[in-house]
Amino acid sequence: MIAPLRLVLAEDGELLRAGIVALLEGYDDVRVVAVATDYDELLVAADEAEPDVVLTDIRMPPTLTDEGIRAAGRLRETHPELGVVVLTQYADAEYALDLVASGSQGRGYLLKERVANADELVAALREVAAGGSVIDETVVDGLVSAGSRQPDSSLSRLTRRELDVLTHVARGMSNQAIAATLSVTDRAVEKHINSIFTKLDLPSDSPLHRRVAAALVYLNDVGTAEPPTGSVPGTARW
Amino acid sequence: MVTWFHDGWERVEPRLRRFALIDAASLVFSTALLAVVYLLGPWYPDLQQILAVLVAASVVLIAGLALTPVLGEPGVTFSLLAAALVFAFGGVWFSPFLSPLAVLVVLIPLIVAYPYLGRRSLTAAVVVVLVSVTTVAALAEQRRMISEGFPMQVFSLAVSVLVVVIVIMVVIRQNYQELHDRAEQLRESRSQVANVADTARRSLERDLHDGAQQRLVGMSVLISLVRQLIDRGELDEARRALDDLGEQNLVAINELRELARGIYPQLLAERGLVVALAAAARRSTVPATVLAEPLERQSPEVESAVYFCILEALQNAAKHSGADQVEIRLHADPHLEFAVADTGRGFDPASVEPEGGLLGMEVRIRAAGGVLRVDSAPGQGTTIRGLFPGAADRPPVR
Repeated sequence: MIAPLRLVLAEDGELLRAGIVALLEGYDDVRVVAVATDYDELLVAADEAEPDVVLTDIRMPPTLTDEGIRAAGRLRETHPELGVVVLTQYADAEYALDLVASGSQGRGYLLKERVANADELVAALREVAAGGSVIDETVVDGLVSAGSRQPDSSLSRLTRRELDVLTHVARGMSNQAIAATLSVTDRAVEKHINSIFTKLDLPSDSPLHRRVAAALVYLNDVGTAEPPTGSVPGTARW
Repeated sequence: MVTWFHDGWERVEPRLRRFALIDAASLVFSTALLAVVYLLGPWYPDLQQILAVLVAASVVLIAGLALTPVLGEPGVTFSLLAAALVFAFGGVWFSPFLSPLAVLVVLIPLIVAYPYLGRRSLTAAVVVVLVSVTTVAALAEQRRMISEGFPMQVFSLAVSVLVVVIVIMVVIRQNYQELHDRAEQLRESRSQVANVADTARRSLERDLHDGAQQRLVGMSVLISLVRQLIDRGELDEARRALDDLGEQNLVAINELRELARGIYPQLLAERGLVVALAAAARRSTVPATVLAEPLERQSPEVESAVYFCILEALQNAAKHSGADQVEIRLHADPHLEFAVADTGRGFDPASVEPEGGLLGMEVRIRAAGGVLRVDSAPGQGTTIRGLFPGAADRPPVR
């Protein structure tokens, strides 16, 4: 039997906190070793309770903004091996990009409603504790559909299947997991990924945790353009 | 030549233009009046001198105004000032009784043109006026001792006082009128802001009522159903009802998330305009691109006005324009400016009802201290532009 996953839960909402603890009691392989209700408590718990993984709300006291993301950044330095899954009510990709800014290994970004499916949540916690990444599919789908809507988007150079594969890569799935989901061989997935990364000019030999961030950043950039500083054409005269 | 002057003249702010005209007219009028008295009357030499001063002042003013296309608003101001100085010095030289009036005449251009001068021109004008007023007063005291011709000086004083008082009255009346109009505009735009805010709140209330709340009520019915099913031992049915509950709950969560974002997007509060707009552009049903320079954070009022105005423009482009591409441009130097341009079918701005979304956008931008312009014509696409003049800039003259 595998050792149970040691989990620190940080959530300021009492109802949700109690609910998650109760849900996880049904799983022998997960043990909640500490709960925290704000940013400082979370950092203390991460120091003292020796967790394998942290499940944290994005928005907690003291500022009720992005404590979860900031805690994840801090923990990357103090506890590099510790996995962090951030639960969020925001489907905007910006926060996910912040979370993986310093690498996506051992990081997860899930919409809060995912806790309703406890099996999925526990699988994500395991994945992240083992150094993998999990990015909520709503976030990735939003990026992909926005990128595809852009006229002459570079995404249009990908085949339908390749776009599927890229989506799964951005969600943090391993080649094996993608192969299983799409019912193809590992080898086929590898070929697709090489082809995608060549077509999009992304470094194809990057390790798994790099390619998640690379894919997310790429997808994000497809929908946003920044001109060089200078005048904005057409708005100069008033 | 005539159109050259006309174009330059048209660019000067109307109030300043009107004052320059009144000033020139009264100067020419009083010159003519004195000339008539001089020709009909006993040819007093004093009158001759004052007349020469008035003619000189008129020439200076008219010549200065003729150069308006080159010199612009500061040129108009300095022409007025120069004419006033000629009048003051000349008048006091020949008729020291005029000194209080001369001081007043030198002050008027400064009072009237104050809003139209930049910092440097204003400093220059203040220095000129200060020095001149002092000199005029001193000159008058010095000349008073050696002057003569008492009755004629009283006459010229009487004529000039009449003209100057009329000019001052007109100027003051205009300023009061202006203030009154501004106050009226302000009252109107405040009530428009309140109306727009009310409309937004009403639609929010509707969305909450018809959406999330209905769903939650439905879910509480389902919950009691589940309880009954469990009591009756119909566990399969109960499980199905629970699945249903779970789905309904997800939909409610999504609706609330969208509503919350519609009230005030967290990204806007935390990361500012560019990031929030990029996210909004991604969600837009018509492909939208954000072209923006890195931008400093603006005041919350300006940020939310710009954000929601652009959002509305984006939604309008998606709903009405048939455009296949929208471009959002954001620009911060020297003033915050934005433009939302679509490639759609466009419309005639005069034909849309003024109560619609365009008014809401305009009111929002104006309340935050900006101006909004809509450029559209059938077949031309639509461009919405907003501009926020800096506080140090000229006052919002419209």
